[in-house]
Amino acid sequence: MNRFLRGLFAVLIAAALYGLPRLFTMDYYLHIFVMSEIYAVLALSLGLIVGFAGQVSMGHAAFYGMGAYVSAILGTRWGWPFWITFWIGGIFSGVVSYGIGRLVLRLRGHVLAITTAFFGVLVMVVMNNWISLTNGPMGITGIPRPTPIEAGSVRLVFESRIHYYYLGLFFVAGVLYVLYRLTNSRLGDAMVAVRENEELAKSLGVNAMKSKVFAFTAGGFIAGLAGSFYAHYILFISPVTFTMNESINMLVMVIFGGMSTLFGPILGAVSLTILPEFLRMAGEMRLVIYGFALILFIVWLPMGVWGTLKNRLFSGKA
Amino acid sequence: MLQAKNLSVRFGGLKAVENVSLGVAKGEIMSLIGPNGAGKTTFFNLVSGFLKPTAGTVHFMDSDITGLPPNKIAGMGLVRTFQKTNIFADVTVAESIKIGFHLRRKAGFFDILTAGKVSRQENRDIGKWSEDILSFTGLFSWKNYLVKNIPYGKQRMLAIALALAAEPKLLLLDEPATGLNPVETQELMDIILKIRDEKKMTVFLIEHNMNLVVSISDRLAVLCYGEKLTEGKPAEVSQDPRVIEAYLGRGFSYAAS
Ligand SMILES: Nc1ncnc2c1ncn2[C@@H]1O[C@H](COP(=O)(O)OP(=O)(O)OP(=O)(O)O)[C@@H](O)[C@H]1O
Ligand SMILES: [Mg+2]
Repeated sequence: MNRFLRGLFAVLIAAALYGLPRLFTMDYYLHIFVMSEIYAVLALSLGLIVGFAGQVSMGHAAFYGMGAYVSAILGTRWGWPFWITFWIGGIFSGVVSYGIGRLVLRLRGHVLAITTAFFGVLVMVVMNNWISLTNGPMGITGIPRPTPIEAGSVRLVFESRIHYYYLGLFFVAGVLYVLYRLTNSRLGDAMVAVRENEELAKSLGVNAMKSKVFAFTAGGFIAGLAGSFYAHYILFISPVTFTMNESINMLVMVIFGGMSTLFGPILGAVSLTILPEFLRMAGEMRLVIYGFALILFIVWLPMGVWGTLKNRLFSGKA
Repeated sequence: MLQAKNLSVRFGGLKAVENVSLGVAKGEIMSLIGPNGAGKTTFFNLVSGFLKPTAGTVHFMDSDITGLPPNKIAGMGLVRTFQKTNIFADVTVAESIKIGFHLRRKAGFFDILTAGKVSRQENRDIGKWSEDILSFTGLFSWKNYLVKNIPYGKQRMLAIALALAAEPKLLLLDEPATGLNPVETQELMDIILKIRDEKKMTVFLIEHNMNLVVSISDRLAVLCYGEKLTEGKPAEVSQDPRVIEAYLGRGFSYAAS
């Protein structure tokens, strides 16, 4: 029965996600949906680092940005197709985050947060100043869209927002699957162990450093993929998209939705992408209201919206 | 099984452990006693890799483990508990035990991603393993509680259960009876004996409760001001005038009488 209900639930969600862009057909809405998908992936990837492994990163936008730039440069200069540069962007970010992780993850708490933030700034400086490669503050234009997928009589093109919306659904689902598997494995449990009590984790055989570096690398890799997806959707990238503001934005999504769950970051990403749009009506006061609402949320629901709900609903945990 | 040779460590000028040689034989319950600040916990830290010695060596099962990181040493089968209550506070008892199985779970990265054979077998095994350990330590009925919400005595027991989950060959317990009431202490004694007799693990124990130490230990060693005073059978050691002198504690004279 439980299994049947779950199946039914999954089908309903799939149907709703499928139908959504047919209900809200305006480009404006579709854009918000696609951005929600990209932020969902970003929040999920940061959630692995912050929520599961317990390591605060304030430079996540750097990995997002590196994926975007690598993929965009390969696509514009050498005409490589998105389907290849997508992965290369991810791998590039993953490799860099491995290196950075090895360096900085021996630090803790505030020092780690500041160091990762500093790394984010460093990447911005490179994007702005290595003009021969990145075109500096002017950014990169003319990024190619994904080439059509042809399989027999089926031909999938990626020309309008609704196409990206559906591609994005696959992207989110894929990331969600991988993270689900990881967080329900020995590797995920090791991350939780390190987050909860590093000394005890070590005494039980967990290589704490390796575990943290793994989370950081996987998170960086996925953020790189998201960057590539973003670049080939917006078709223009420049350094201003990948600022520290953006890193903090992602962090807020994770905290708001609920850390150390998979649904929490998705909820945080979607609501915090949509909410500011609603608040546009408030004009100048928008950011003030937004900031104030976030503070209240964090004070009242420190485990995030989903973390709190989950504990209330399924509290076998007395 | 465990052999420390001329082990020393200093904190600034303080000789916390000085030139201590000590062995634990397979299958025994060995205890380390000594007054507060004698260096017992420090000795455990040296042996389990949480501290690096300034001199001396540690051998475990014929390999030199001096200076190896704690997770490596745990992986070789030497697992320790802590004097302070050291737990994963914000997860449930069952989840916490699952984390403790880290060393027994072998699924590789791609097996995990593809829900391969090893992962699926592991997930089946974990249920059984947990049940075993939770029943063994009397924590079964607490399994769905958040660790921070269970009584203190159960948290102490959970710390031992976690160490057992790692399936050590040699289990180091640092003052497991601290803060337990007499009933819980009795339960603890029974469990330590069962760890040796049923689980066939070797136990190395630090304990202030002399009653417990004298009644369950096969051998005793006494540490005082960082140096080893003596070692031997509990009956002999507790009669040793040097020990009685060093240890004028109430508990000890009681045990010696
Ligand atoms: N990390 C450290 N840095 C400095 N001094 C330390 C450190 N750890 C222990 N000490 C000192 O070393 C001495 C031995 O401490 P240790 O904790 O090993 O004693 P113990 O025998 O376990 O005592 P107790 O019975 O109180 O647990 C003490 O004087 C203690 O203050
Ligand atoms: Mg001690």
